[in-house]
Amino acid sequence: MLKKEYIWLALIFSLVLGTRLYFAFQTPYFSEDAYFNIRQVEHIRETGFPLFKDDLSYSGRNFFFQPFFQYILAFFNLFIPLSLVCKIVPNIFASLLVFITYFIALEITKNKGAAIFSSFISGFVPIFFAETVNNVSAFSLVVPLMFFLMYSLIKINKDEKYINYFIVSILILALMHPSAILLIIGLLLYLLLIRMEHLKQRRSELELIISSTILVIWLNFIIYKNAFLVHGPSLIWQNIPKELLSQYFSQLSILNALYYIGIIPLVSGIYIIYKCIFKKKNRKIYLLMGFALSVLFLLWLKLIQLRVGLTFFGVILVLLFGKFYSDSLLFIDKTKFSKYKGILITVLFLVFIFNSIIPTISYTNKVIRETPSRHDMNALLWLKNNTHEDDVILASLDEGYLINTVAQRKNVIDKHFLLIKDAEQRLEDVREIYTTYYETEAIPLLNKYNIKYIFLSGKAIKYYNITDLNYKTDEKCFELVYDNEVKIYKSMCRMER
Amino acid sequence: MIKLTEKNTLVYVILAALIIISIPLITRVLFHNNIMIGEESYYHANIAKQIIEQKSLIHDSNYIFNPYHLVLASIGYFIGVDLASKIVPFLLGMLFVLIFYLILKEFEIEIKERFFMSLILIISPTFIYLSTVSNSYSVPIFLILLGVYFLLKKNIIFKFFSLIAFALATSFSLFNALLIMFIFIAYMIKKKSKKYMIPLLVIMLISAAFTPAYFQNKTDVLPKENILQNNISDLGALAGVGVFSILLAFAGFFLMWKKKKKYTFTILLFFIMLLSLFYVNYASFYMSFVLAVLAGYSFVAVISMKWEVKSIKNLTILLIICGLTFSTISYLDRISNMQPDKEIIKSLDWLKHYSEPDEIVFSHYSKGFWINAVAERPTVTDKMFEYYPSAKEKFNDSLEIFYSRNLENTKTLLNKYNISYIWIDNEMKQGLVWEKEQQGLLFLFRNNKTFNNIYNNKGIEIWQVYP
Repeated sequence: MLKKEYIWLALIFSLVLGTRLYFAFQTPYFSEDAYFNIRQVEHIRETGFPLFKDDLSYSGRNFFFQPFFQYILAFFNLFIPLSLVCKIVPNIFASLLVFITYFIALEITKNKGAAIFSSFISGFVPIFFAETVNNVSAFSLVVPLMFFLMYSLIKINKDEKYINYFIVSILILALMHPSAILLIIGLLLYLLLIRMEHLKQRRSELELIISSTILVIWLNFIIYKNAFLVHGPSLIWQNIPKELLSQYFSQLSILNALYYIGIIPLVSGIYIIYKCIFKKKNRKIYLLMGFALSVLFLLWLKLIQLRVGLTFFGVILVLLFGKFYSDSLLFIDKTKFSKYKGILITVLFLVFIFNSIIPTISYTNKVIRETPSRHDMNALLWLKNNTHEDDVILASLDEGYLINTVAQRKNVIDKHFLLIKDAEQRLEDVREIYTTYYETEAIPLLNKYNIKYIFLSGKAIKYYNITDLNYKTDEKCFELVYDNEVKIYKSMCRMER
Repeated sequence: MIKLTEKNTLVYVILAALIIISIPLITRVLFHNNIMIGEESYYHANIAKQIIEQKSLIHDSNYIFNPYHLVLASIGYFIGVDLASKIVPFLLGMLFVLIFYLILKEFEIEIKERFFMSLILIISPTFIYLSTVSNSYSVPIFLILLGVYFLLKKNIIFKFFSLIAFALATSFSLFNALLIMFIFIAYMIKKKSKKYMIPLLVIMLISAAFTPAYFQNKTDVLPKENILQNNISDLGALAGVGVFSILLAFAGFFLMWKKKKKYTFTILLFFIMLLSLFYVNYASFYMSFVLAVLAGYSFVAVISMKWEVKSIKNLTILLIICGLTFSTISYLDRISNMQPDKEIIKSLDWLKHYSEPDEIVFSHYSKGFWINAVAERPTVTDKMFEYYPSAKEKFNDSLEIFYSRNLENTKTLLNKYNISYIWIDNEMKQGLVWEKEQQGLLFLFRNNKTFNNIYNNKGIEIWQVYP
């Protein structure tokens, strides 16, 4: 017969996955960033290889990235249609986090109730939920995998098979995303904490950490070698133009953390960290602390994106919450309030719903609302069917991948800035074309990038704070070729600047 | 597994060096008509040829004296400068390995460590560069290594030879002089003896005599590369060290720190090298020898460490080997196919026969040495132009010529320097100078009253300029 906690876990998993899929299927489309991965998966399915040399992005460029996640999706695409794979598979991966947090929390607390509670909360960390629900993001697998690695590290002394699990998982992680480096820094900080607290260093643990460090550094170095040659150490900021850098790598603030992580995990997590530093030494908590510290340091130094940092930080704090929860129950048992324990748990649960689930739903709704609309898609399909395949289409930064994937045409700019020498200039030029009042300024820029069509969606109108192109009145140069919520202008003049 | 003994280890090390150095040389013979590698090799060869022809030192006021030119000219006198430019670095490379190995032996480093330290040195990109490209650093490095080796010997005659080797190395640059002085100081600290004060004073006196030669007037015009890009080959350095060697070396440093009394000399040398990387752009050549010691030490520590999980040990060792060889393989490929290629040489040879000896050729400064050496024609700028008078003016004028679309301005500047030909290659058109077609001078080439395309083959163009 199945154990009770497994039935609970299955229920939590179903609830988390069900909620995720509910949101994901609110729209037949995906968030703009998802279309990069979708295009890569399509290419892998067709050729067996990722698209490292792309003729469409930036009207021709090279990509550097780890393609393992795209390969996994391509594998599922062998049996299931791509749109379903991209809706379902990443959400299943992300939902698996509830199992992993359950087992880690159980190791830390030895309390099944606390572990179940942690597992439930981990399913609804606002930022992780919203950022992986409709984004076809590698983070949907990266995050569970990272925590599985930590779980394996906790378990290696009890069962040797976890050594193999660890090695295979770190290899997959290193082949999937550069954020594996984050884990490595966390593990090294964990070693430091162990040494500082004079705890005995487990040999096998040390060996695994050394080996993983070398593996991750080497693989990342091989993959990003050319990008290193071009950008040098500033590769960390992915060549993101200065104008956008503050959006991507913004400063961590308490309000941000409260909104994206939730107040209960944040407060309880910080309390447990304080307790473990000053009162009670706990090796397992140090492992989580090492990781949390690495995220915090990198966020503080603006070396990782705020969204990425908060995603990991949110899950770590949920695990620490498990410890807080079990310690609190033990404490309550010793007091006169023990008879009200049930009420306290219910109150805590309700507070959690108010502070974590409601922000999750509101944040996710916002993400879903921002996905491209049917009108956007129709306009993109119009471009695909009515323009020449060599035509360059101007779209806003966010819509660059859509131009490549849906319209299958060349764009001027998208969010993949690595190895683009003139990214800053392009961003400025695109803004200039959308916002300038003078065609004498717009036309030379349109000529500069060989732009044939201007894609003016509601999103671009909002982003650039315009109502229409200011210079559209010159019908000899700009012909409105599509007008249905989205406008598409054809650029027909040439002018030397 | 082969057992390392005193007899066979040195043989293996020498064989490894032979194989590694031969790869770029053989590739050049097979695929690039045995053309010399790089830019500076052409400069040294050109000067050496002039010394042989004139049978005296160069008396040009622009010439910067370098003792390497005398070495190259002396050997080139018997076997030809081109052959000497290939043989000298090769022989010096083999000698580096031999002396480095013997120094390690003198320091009583155990045989396994000696083997891996030497091996890491051999596969380092700096060593490959020093052993395959004619350069002015190999000779002083050889002399310093020789000096250190003799210094470690007990016999007084060797000590005397050591002083001679150091004195000769001092003549090459101020950095060499300072390094040698530091070696004496570090050695005195290690030996806790002041008896090396006299040789130290001798070196100081020699370096004082050479002081005017050390300080040349130089106008800093060219953009400076940062310390990482200048010293790490994987980040684009022409001759830097590999990333994995650095990581291993730092691990080795921390391991050695525990036995700092035994390794005082290496640790002190490591510190001074680290410091010099910030100030001397060729310090990585010297640094690679110290890094090899540290990296080899930590590699042996990893192998000898008692591992609880054998599979992780094997994986770790495999990863380190892959990491180290990755830099080597990628560098071997880079240096073997480094410019100039046969098309460049062909075009310059063509220009030599087409033009008159005093006609001036304009190109990017990095192409200057090739044009001087192969086409045997003067240029406006070359890589040494920062040492020449009015360097800034020449640099700014070059930029104006490259990027201006104003024909009159360009013509004025071309006349100012009496330029008869413009030589351009693919690299210049693909980012080194221009990023787009029809940019600057490329646009002006349309004017056939001023420019005439006299050579166009595989992306290399030569334009004749009409005054």
